[in-house]
Amino acid sequence: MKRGGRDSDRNSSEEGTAEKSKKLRTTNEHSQTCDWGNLLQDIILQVFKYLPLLDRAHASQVCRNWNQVFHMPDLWRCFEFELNQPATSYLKATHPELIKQIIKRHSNHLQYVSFKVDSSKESAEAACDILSQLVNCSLKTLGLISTARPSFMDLPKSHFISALTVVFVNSKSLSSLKIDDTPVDDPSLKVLVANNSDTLKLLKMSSCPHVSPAGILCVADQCHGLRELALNYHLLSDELLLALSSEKHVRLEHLRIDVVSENPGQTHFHTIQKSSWDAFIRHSPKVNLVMYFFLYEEEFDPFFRYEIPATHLYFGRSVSKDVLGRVGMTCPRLVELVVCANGLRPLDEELIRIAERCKNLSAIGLGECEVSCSAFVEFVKMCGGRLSQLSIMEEVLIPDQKYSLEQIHWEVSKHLGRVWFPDMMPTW
Amino acid sequence: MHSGGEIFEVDVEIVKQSVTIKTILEDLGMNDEGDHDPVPLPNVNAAILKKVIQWCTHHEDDPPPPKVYENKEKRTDDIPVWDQEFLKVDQGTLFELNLAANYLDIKGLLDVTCKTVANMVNRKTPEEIHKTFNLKNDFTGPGREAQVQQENQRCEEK
Repeated sequence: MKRGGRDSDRNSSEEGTAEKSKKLRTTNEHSQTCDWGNLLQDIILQVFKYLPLLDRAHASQVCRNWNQVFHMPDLWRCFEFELNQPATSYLKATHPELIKQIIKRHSNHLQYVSFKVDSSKESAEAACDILSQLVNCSLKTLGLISTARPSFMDLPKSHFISALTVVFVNSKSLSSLKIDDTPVDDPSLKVLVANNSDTLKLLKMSSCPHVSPAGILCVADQCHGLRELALNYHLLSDELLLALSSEKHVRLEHLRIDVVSENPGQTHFHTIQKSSWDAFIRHSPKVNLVMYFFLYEEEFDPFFRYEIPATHLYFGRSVSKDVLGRVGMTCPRLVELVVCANGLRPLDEELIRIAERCKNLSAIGLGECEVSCSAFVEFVKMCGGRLSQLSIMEEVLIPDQKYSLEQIHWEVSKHLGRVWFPDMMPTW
Repeated sequence: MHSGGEIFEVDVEIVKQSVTIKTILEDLGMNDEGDHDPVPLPNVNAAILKKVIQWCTHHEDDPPPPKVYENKEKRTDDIPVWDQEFLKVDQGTLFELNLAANYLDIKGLLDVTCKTVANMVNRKTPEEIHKTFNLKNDFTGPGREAQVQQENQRCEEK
């Protein structure tokens, strides 16, 4: 940087360095008076964006200019309504007066909205109440999160549906919708699709018992931009996988399927054809296929009979040795495996097979299982450094002739290339 | 004739961090010329421009900032150490740097100056904010202040 007087020097033009610098002329006035109160509103807005709501509210009290900025639309784009009953919850709640003010003054500024409710019917009702008033909103994101059941499921279905429909109809640009554990139904999904099919990218609706496979198929057929989907197994069908793989549909990035049984033997699980999975993975080769299993041991019969493109598998209840053996044979894309419990027979062969055949495995968690130390070391040796997460409860490892518990952590650390210890407490 | 002020000659790559200046250069077709009239910056005095150039020079090779999603919370605890030292200045200078960053449209500098100001506002009561920034309470009428205080109360956690 050079500083010149009135007739600034020219750079030597033969070397062409003149193009490399430019001249700027400043004002000759003195410094501006330091008047924070009358700072440009645009700048105050940027500052306020870094403040949490309470501090912003304090700042809005200091003078009129700052107060005006407090109410600028840009600061009211995101809001999480926290609705908890003081009697049943220790969690804080959004002040009812603030809720009134937001609906009155800022409802048409809201774009990213979520509701965090406790398990009570009252909180769910309060959420629906607010939803029905969001008539001038053009929401991009809506999330209904209940910290515990039953919450929304306790409400009269029609009450919930009419509140949700207000948002579906008025927003017309919903991109992300999280409505797990709610009484949403097929007709309301039709309304969602009729108004938001061009923009919908994410839909999470695990545990929505009133939706049928036809209902979700309607979403897949019309919402060609859908990238992330979470649902229960009973909604999965060959038609759905094919609809998600149609030429008009974008590549799916994330599909989560919850396979849940409420009582032993009560639910019959239909099968999906291998050809449907093949078409699915051909269309979306990089998709994450996440499957959560909460089944009793005898209910696994229809699963893992042929190759499926699962990448993340979680077994929430006890899963048999046989099934884990089949997992090794049928899930070559496996990246993450979590087993909460198993019988009391060691999983040596099954783990080795998984190490052999699941070349992308990088995370594993084992709870109430048994693995001999030798087999475990062999497993880690085969996977090597690609295991970024190895979460094994100490009780899982059975000492044998080759290794004791004290020796195991050295061996494993050696093969992993970093220090490793088994877990003492459950981490998930 | 120049009407006053100082002239700074600055590397073009550094100067282009200011979207305002970059736009002026492009609009006036000054990009390729070897010499031209100095770009006037009526809102920036020499002392502040010197600081701005210092900041831009240090940040010349910064990668473009990652995309910030509208609904992600913004942090103020990640100001780089060099910037923190750079902004250890009197309030008047901070004020003018903030204005200059805005006028010259230098996103990185605007971000760190705003974060710094936000850190000065954070976790303070209105009275403390008044004191820190020497602000005048210009709410007229007795009712207005009470209304604003009530608004404030609603934002408190229940």
